[in-house]
Amino acid sequence: MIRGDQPFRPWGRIDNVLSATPAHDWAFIGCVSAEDRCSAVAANFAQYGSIKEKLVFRIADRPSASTQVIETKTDIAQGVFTANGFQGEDFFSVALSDPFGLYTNELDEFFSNVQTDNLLIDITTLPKRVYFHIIKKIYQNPDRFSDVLITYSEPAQYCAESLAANPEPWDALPGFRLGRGHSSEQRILIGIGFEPLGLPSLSEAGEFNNSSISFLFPFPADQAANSKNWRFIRQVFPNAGQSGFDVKRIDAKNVPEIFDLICGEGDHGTNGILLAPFGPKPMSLAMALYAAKYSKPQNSPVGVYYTQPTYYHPDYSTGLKMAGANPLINCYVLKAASNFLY
Amino acid sequence: MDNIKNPFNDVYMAETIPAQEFVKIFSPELIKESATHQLFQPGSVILVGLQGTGKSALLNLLKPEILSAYLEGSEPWPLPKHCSKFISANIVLRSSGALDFGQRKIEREDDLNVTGLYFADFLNYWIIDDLLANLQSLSSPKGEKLSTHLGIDVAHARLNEFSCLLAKDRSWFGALKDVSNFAELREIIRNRLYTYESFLNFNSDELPEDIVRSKTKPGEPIGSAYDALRAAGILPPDVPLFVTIDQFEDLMDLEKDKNGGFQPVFRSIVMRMLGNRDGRVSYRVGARPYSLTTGLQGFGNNAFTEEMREYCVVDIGDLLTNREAKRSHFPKLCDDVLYRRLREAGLKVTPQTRYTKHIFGGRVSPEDKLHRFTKEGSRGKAISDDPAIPDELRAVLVEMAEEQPLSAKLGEAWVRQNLADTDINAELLKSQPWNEKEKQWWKKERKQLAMLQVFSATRQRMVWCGADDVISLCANNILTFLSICQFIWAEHLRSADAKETAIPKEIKPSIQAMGIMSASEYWFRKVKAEPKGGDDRHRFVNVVGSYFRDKMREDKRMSYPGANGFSLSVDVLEEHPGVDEFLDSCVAFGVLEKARHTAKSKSRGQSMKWYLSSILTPYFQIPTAHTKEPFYANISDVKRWLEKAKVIGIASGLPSADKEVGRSSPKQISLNFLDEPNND
Repeated sequence: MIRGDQPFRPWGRIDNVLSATPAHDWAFIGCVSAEDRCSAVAANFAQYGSIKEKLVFRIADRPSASTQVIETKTDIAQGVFTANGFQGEDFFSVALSDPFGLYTNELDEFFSNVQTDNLLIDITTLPKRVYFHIIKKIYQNPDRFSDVLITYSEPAQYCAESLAANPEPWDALPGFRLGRGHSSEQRILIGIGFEPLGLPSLSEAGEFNNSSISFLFPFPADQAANSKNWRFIRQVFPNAGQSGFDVKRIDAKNVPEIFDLICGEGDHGTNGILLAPFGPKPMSLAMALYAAKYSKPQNSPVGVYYTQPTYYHPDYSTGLKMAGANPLINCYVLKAASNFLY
Repeated sequence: MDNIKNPFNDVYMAETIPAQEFVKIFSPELIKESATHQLFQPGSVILVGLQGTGKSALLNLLKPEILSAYLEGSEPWPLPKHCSKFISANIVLRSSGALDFGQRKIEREDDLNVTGLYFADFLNYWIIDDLLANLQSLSSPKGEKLSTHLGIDVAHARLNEFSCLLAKDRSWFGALKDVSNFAELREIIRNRLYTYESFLNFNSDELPEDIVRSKTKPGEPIGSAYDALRAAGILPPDVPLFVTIDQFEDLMDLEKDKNGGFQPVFRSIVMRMLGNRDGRVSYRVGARPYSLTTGLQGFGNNAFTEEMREYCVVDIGDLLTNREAKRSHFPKLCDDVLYRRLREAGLKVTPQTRYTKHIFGGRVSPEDKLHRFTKEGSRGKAISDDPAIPDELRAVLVEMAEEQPLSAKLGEAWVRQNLADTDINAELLKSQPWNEKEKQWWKKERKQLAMLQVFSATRQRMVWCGADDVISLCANNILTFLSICQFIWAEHLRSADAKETAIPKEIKPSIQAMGIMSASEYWFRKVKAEPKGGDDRHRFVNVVGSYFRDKMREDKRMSYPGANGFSLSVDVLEEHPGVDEFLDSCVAFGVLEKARHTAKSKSRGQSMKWYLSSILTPYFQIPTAHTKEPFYANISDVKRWLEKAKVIGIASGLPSADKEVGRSSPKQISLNFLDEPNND
């Protein structure tokens, strides 16, 4: 829905969005992983434009029973990137457990050296802490790019087993700690996904006792996803009758609508709000946009907190969801002709 | 019955409620242990305890708002009067953002020691900021009663004088040079913290030059703040300054290097604060036990080795453990916690009543449990029908089992152990020689195992009920106790017996058994959701627990009644620090219980032993009690468990299971279950 007081925020299938975008040359930031969909943009972008400068993260999880399988699958995916013009120096290998400074150094260097005026961020398999940081960096450097697009490819299917495990403690994503002055204003928005990770133990520990909680519930969703989403809530609050929380149903792909909803909850940075991005990537993207736009250098009214998993299933997702002959790649315009749309 | 509230719904209540409510539910039983009084007297203390042992509740007592709530409410201060005079400041490391220091390089060279200097500076400023906030609160009308009690003078003029004195102190390296009153002091301290916050939040590219040039040394500004408070006439000589630093163990997250080792830079900074030994400031550090030992090998600084000289360690787990000379306070703590929770729920209570026994009843013996929970006519199934036992003897045992199932099962084991070298006939068997006095220890050690085997053979779940079982399942953890109460009470509310205002007397054992099983299942699920490897520990305990259950059921000779735990020599642990660290994390997150173990064989040397956390034993259907010798494991056994549990990161660094050196004693029961088909 377009309202008169808000800019038109184009989003949809990549072919539709790019057909209305005059830019041709793009800088690209993405991530190669064990998921087939990670290379969808790299493999299909030639029909829409040209990728000139590239930064692809290759992130090693902690050693696990699946390490060998994950490495093999990631090598195959990297081969797809390479076949589409990516060179060895475009890949940056880093461990999930490395200090975040290593990631930011690489991003700083990329931002300093990039010549292209248009940036494409493929968040399909980029970790949250990385793309939250990139988006914040874009808001901090308003003159840096004229056009910024964000892409997200959908898989053919998700694994039926547990997708992620071994969560880290509940903590702020780097750069998104709630300011001390807002710590008593406990309004929490939790995006619902398939894995509540460490949330149940936080809820049991009384972390949310004095908070006003809202769940962002993906709607519509198919029956299986719907059931998983309710299970997520039940795992966080087993005694639903005794716990006060609110469920807000929203289209999980409609980033502008989710962004507006968060703006309403946080009153555009006036109220302290804590965001918990456990939901689908586009939902987390809306949170990233809000947090990047309204976080402040000091005493920030926005915090983003998560229980980062340290293990991902090697078959987290497989295949690519197709729309006709093309993979289904969603595209969101963050910035057009030097204007921020969020 | 739905409208009757469960008084135990919020088991973590103590950590989230306002001060006025906290003082009503806090049980003073824990501080009847004189060692805890050290927390309220000058001198630095490291308070060690696992989750749920009451560490946070104890540290809460050091907060001025709690002290104030005692002064203003009807609850008496739970310690001697001289322990009620102190001022304090507090930092909780994770929520303060102090852990963000590990995420960003500050100066050009990526040196953890340099980052440590800024971390120390941040810590100093945060603590001073909290101290100033507390002083400001004491100077307000709301703090009048407390400041009078403490005998401190927090008039504005004195606070301003204090600020000027503090600003001149050299420990600040000129950072406070523009301060001329208390308001300016607060502002400049806060601004420094905001600057750090901004940098650590990636909102600024570098720290300003004035911070780079005025980094303070660990603890020094806090000591000078004490001096200034005394010199300005705010603080009388008998009021000490206590500084609480909580979640010490989280600093370990910042210290891991790429090879899995530790550079304990951040922990050593806190230890340096404790090591100042100038007597001006007393630190209270809240820590999990492993954080005082893990990853310190080869660490040059001797700060960790100066216990007793620079600080003392109060271990809550130790305080509550039964010793030969004294009994644990834990049962009394449970009674008192129950009394306070029930009172808060609006139920009629009397302080003299021992509520644990009142609600759950006394001890229920294994014999009683079998009589209550196995069906008549089916108890004969408890006796195995394999050919190892002659038919004539088996018939005697089957008949005996109908009336005395436990004794009959012990009899079966006795027959199996003695058949080869003793002439056993039906008459001898009927006299039950295993019940003779000289066999009392043999019998005592095997009662739980016999009960397990009878329940298993008659296709019943093993049960836990009665006050003694409830207490033993808690393993001195008050959080576990509250959780068991919550689940049993919930089962009670579902039953027809529940009355709105009455405290139930001796809840039916069957209801208790259901509640305890639910609690155990809940704690097993909870393992998975805990941070820092919860899924790995969940799979590991599942492997080990399932194995012990199967082997104990199959041990018909009852040769290894203590095989619900395992032992490893300290030498092996030192050789494989990854295993040591993983097992410690299992202990830290309440999955395993650990104790010293003196092995039978001297060649094995000093050893440690591990058991499943008591609350998990109902889920795995193994005895809770730790009897006789545990399983003597070797590194190859642990490797198999880790591999089966898919904790590969650690398992892959261990020697191959087929090396002879890695084998456990051949006399031990076999652990080759990994050769069995994998059912996962």
